[in-house]
Amino acid sequence: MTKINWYYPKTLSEASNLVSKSGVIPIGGGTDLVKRPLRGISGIVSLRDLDLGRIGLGKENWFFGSMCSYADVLNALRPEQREHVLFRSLEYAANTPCRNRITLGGSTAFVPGWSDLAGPLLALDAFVHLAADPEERYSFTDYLQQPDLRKGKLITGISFRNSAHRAAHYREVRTHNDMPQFTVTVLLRMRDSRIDEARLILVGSRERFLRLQKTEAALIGKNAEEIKHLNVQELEDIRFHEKPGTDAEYLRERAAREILRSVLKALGDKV
Amino acid sequence: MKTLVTINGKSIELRFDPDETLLHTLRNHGYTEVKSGCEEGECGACLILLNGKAVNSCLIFTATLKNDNILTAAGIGTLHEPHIIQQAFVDCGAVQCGFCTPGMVIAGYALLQDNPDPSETEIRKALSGNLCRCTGYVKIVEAVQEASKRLRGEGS
Repeated sequence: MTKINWYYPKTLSEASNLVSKSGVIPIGGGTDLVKRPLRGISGIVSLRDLDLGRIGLGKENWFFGSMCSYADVLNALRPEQREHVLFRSLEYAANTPCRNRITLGGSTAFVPGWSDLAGPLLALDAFVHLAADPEERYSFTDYLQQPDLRKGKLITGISFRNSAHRAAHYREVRTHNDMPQFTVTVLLRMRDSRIDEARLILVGSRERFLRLQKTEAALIGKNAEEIKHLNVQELEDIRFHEKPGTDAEYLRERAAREILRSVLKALGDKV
Repeated sequence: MKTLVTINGKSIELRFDPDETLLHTLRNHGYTEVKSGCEEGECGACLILLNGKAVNSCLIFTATLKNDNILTAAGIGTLHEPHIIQQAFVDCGAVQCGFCTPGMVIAGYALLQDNPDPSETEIRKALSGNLCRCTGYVKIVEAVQEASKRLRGEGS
């Protein structure tokens, strides 16, 4: 039998203290953790007794507690926000039972290369809230880039600015519930039928998370007709690792094509 | 370790190892209708309802449970008193080898609880986490459609 101690803290500070210890990790939905070898893990902290499932859809900002499952997020957004980038990205993530179990906190902490959450969070300039007194808040970009922020810390939630946008999320999969080879997230803010601000994120390339800034710049001030022949391959240095069952060059071409198609889709084109 | 849960309406004390998944705990306690397939959340053979939500029991550590409510396919109906959805699977020929059937029944049951009149697309999406190597899914989708009609009082 593996020697693992389980902890069931009743307060955030108790949980925070526990996960700061070496070899002790928190568990949200557990869908990823349960598949990993538990070597080196001496303790698991269950977060079920903590109030980390709050959802706040305010006028200015939106907040999702770290124990919200993908299904919780979809249910909260379904009535009025089906076009939101987070709804579009999570709607087909994993499969129905997994969406009932995968939590935002777990997904944010592990951020696998096939993540359907990372693209939207980067596009939305989301913040990761960490348990501390007072609470700490970091941009998701910093959270990804600074490993120290991920060690021994407890995520309490995700927040971002609520703003109108047009969005698309593409998953490169062979069947719906496949793990994507890559994802493309597009978030556009419009002014007078032209693109005023663009956020394009490619997840799963060699850099894992790539913001496509040159393509973003090329889109500003344009409408759908003016970008139909944009050559993303020329603008961006997109590279993939060779993966079993596929080809890096093929993925590069696919990604470039799907980036443009996703932009056009977000603009309402039938592509 | 041990924990108290309700399984198919009965209060049960589960005993388990700290790294044990709910799939194995359930099977060790006699709930063999919960099938062991891929054990990584891909096939849906181990599907159960946990507090009303369809989840893969292979992806849950039993140690995370406390006073939770579990429903397996055997808790929905019995051989002599099958639930409408179970009867629909039989009537529509949606069962071949039967290994995926408990999970499929649970997925369909969960869908119809939330959405009594789902479209074919919604049914296929709800069953997207359940794999079947025999049927090609057509009969399974028909069975859920038939169950939906019967539950709404429209079926044969």
